[in-house]
Amino acid sequence: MSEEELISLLFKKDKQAFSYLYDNYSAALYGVIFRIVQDENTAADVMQESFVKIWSHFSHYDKTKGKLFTWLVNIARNLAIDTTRSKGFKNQNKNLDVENIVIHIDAHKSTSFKPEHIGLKALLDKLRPEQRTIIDLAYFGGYTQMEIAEALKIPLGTVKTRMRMAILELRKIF
Amino acid sequence: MNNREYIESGMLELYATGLLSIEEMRDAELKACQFSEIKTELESLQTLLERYAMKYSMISPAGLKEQIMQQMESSATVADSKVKPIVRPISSTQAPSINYLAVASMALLVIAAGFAIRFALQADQYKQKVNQLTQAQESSRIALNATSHSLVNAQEQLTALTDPNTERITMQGTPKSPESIAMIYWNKETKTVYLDVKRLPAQPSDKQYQLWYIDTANKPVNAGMFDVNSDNMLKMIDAPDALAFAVTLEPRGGSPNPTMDQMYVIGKVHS
Repeated sequence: MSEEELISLLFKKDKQAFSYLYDNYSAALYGVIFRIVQDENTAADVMQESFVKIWSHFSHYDKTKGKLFTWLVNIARNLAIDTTRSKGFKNQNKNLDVENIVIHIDAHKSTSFKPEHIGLKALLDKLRPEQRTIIDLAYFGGYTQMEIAEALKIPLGTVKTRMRMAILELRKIF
Repeated sequence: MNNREYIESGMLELYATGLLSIEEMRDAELKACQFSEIKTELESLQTLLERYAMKYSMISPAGLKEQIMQQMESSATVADSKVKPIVRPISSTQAPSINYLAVASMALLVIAAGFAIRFALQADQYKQKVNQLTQAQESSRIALNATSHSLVNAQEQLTALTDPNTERITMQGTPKSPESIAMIYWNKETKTVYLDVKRLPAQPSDKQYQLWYIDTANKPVNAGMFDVNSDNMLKMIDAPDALAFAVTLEPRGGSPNPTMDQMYVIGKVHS
């Protein structure tokens, strides 16, 4: 099924299409959610919340504003971040500061992430840890420019150029 | 700011990673609507990040899909069905019954029948539940097996690659294909060879790439065949001694000797 077909079926609230959507995107979305919440039970809850929202809010999806996956990731990511920033969760993961985030992610990756994509290539190759961190903080972590600048101890104005460099490197890898 | 400058400014990267303010986002969307150049750039950024996110895919918990589908189903039916309240007429002028025993036994019968039906229904539900759980368990067992299998592979690779005896050799493109590039990770102790193709033209269907190493007698020795559609690092045939590594394009199945004018990449061992 092409992305176009899938989208038009989802607009019609087609359950089969939703099932197809789950089969094709759940692993990627679960990976993103897990990366943020770092806990299987919470990740499963956020996952459920995300898919219910995707189903009920599909009419809000606007093709002209971006690809389907981008929209899906935004929903999943925002719900995941809301969870981590809500009360009660804060204390659990207090020590998740930036210096640790890459190490933290790597430690998890070796046990939980799809091992054939263990990131060996990325690890060995061009993407330096600090470049990965800036992408991860923004794209997975939902940090703002200000927070990133503080976390990486760089001037606010540099975030933009750093991000562009990091993404240019990422482009070379894929 | 013209389009080129806007693209180079890094604004689109910030847009794609969700770092822009609402006004800046609107501005970027407006520009993407107006100029196809910017729209294309933005889409390619989003695709790139999509692929990056995909790299971190994880198998979602077994049974979660069923749970979600069910929740959708139930929320849909609640909204659709119009529940009508059941209204029973109450007759105000009813003669008091005298045969209490008959009434009591009748009531008892009704209650008992009610229970019987309820238990039968529940048993059915439990059977279904057990079936679902067994299926879910089976699929997670399969997924786990696959995962641990690839994990072992990945760990082997990691151990091999981080070994101090492992040498990284860059095979550069030959004049025939200057854009091509591939890496070799060769462990001099264990003799293992890992190949990581960065860029090679797609092979025609009747051809296959073949890796060679040049031994200390300056003779090329076969180190295995491969196709360039795999995303993974490949373990090749062990090389006991090697001065250089090279890749040639050969008829599918390989050749006993390399076809020299079909050489795509070559790289010397450093020491």
